[in-house]
Amino acid sequence: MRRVSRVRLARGFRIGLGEAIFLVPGLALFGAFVVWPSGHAFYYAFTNWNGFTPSATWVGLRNFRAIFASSASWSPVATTLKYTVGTGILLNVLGLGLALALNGTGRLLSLLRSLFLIPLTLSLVATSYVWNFIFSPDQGTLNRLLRMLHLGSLQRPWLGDPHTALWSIVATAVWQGTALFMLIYLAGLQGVPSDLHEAASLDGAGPVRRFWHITVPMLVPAFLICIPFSLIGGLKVFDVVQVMTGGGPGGATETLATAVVKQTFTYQNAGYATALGVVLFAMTLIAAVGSILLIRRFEVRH
Amino acid sequence: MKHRFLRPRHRRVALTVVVIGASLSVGVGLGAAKPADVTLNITTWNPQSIDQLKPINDAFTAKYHVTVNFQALSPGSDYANLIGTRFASGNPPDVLFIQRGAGGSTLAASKQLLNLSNQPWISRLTPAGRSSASYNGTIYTMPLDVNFQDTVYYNTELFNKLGLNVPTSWSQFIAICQKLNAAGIVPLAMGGKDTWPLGTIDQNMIPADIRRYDPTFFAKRYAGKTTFSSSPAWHHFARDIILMGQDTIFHDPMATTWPDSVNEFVQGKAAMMIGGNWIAPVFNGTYGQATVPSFKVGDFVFPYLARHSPNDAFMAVTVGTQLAIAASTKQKKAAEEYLNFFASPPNLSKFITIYQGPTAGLSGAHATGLDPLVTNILKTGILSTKRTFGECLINSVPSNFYDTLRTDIGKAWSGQGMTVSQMLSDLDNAYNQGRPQMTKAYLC
Repeated sequence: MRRVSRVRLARGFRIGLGEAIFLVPGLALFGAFVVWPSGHAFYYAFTNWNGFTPSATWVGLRNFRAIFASSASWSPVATTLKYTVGTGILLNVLGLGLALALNGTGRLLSLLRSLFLIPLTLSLVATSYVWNFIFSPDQGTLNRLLRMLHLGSLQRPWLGDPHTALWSIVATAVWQGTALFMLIYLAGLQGVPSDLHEAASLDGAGPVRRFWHITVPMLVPAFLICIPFSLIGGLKVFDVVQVMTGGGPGGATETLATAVVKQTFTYQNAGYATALGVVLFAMTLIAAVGSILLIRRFEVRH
Repeated sequence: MKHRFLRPRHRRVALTVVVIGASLSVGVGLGAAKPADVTLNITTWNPQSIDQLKPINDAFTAKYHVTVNFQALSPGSDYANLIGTRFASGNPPDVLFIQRGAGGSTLAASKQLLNLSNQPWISRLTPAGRSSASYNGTIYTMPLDVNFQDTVYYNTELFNKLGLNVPTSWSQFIAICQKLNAAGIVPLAMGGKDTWPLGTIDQNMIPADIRRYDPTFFAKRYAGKTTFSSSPAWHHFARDIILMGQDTIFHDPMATTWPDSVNEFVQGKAAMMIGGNWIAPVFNGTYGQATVPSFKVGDFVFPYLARHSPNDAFMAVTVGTQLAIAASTKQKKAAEEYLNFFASPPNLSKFITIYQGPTAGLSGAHATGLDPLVTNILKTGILSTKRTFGECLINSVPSNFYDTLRTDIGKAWSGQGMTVSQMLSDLDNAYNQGRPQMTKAYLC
């Protein structure tokens, strides 16, 4: 009998050599455009590269020491964490809430589901430009609406006030992104067997109890997608901040990703910027893996 | 038997091939020598300049048979980023237009620009042009238009209606702002959200403070003999610029973009705005539908630190646009010809007329048909033509300096509690951090 060569890719996952050959083009592209540049980035984090010249001098841990020694580095970190927590909570809570409200059959629910999906069809950059106009201090829709409702005292220069700028950006990102989370949670809800709810109802469980003891555990696979996804998206935020405030006013909305760009292009400090990028990568990895492990423990318990 | 290398028939064939091949290669060689086959990649940040400079580029192509591929990469500060990326990836343009403060000296310091010191137009460099074109005593750029630093444009109708006169001192300026505020009008439109417009204020105030209180500051700071925190000029500047945020000169400056600020002004919601001479034609009826019919505009020198007489407010000049050649270009000859062609007095005169530059960085060029607003400003103020303070200020500090300064101005003007000592300490830290980059920089 002819023996088929097999390749062990990971524990418990083996494929035939013939099948493995089909992976080569994909792996080559991934290696060329992801692994190789990322590896290069790790190298440049230990150099004083200015971003212009081909040469760079090895400086060891100097860039990382500068990041952790400077209090100025912590402001973008704090802003990034605030944004991540803010969008993480709102996207998941609102996404789940909308999914629960719109889960069912009927024309009205279908129509509403379609309407709520509209923001998802727009790019975040385009959305950010539109919300820039909404938050504009003089002719902005929000302030005009407040004046119309005789609530003029609540008017703000939303993106020019350090107390409201970041939360205005969070609101924009949440408006645009909630639909995706709603969609994933809706898919999860569709997978919850209705007989479980019926059985629990017969046993006298109310809606709240059914939600916590049936819906939530059954939605763990959806949480496994949504929570790490929102954390990763929050930590790497760049586009919406760059378009809406450019990190201002006075650095109040500077995130790690915008700081990386500024260090590279404005300060010609690409080595330091790459080190910041490595720190951001480490934060993202910890948040993503940590959240997955945490949610999986929850899944096992149930 | 005598060995024959090729049979006669084969020799004939080989001879024919050789003759045809040689003819083709000569033809190709001649073709390559033709300038018509040379393409010069030129980049700029200004999309409008593609049309504006087309006559000059077409004339160059007609004369030298060099195809000009003229590209506008991106307006605003993104241009410097894109150019930086092009150089870093080994794919720079052959010739590049460089904005004021957009990294010309950084590129020169990184040896990315061609040394232009032996070019024929060097002898025509004005003192102001030479100072901005030099880095470590070597010429790396060709200065085109020389402009005065930003001036104050004002709505004459509004001023007349409220009985306001053109201010000739700082106290008068503040008083006017207070009156405008009381009338519910934005005194000075400011698009601080885009950050760079903050420079229209600080680049006016710093030269005035340096000139009056600490003329040798930058040389001393470079030598480590003084600090921003201990300089009277910088104390004066920091105090005044922080106060500007409290004096209700602006309305929501950090929430307003540059286009919004222009709209505020031309729609009569703001009484004044600051801009360079390049914006003068915009105000004189060419701003399109946003211009209100009654909109009439005048201008005056920013009255910060006016000294002996009302018209004694110091006004620095700066080179607006420069041309440079990438050191790695394969079209060196054509690129040098392009600069030479641009440097000719008729072409340079055309350029500075388009951009309303009062003068040029090379002698022999004269703007014709300057906007009345520009000629008015030229009658007032002190135009420093010996030094270009604009470039000088940029080259006298490391690249991170102005970002730190404008972040702190943003903090002050958005109510984040900025103090004079904090601002000066931040500037010292930024300078110390970036100081290693400054290899024999050209100092003010």
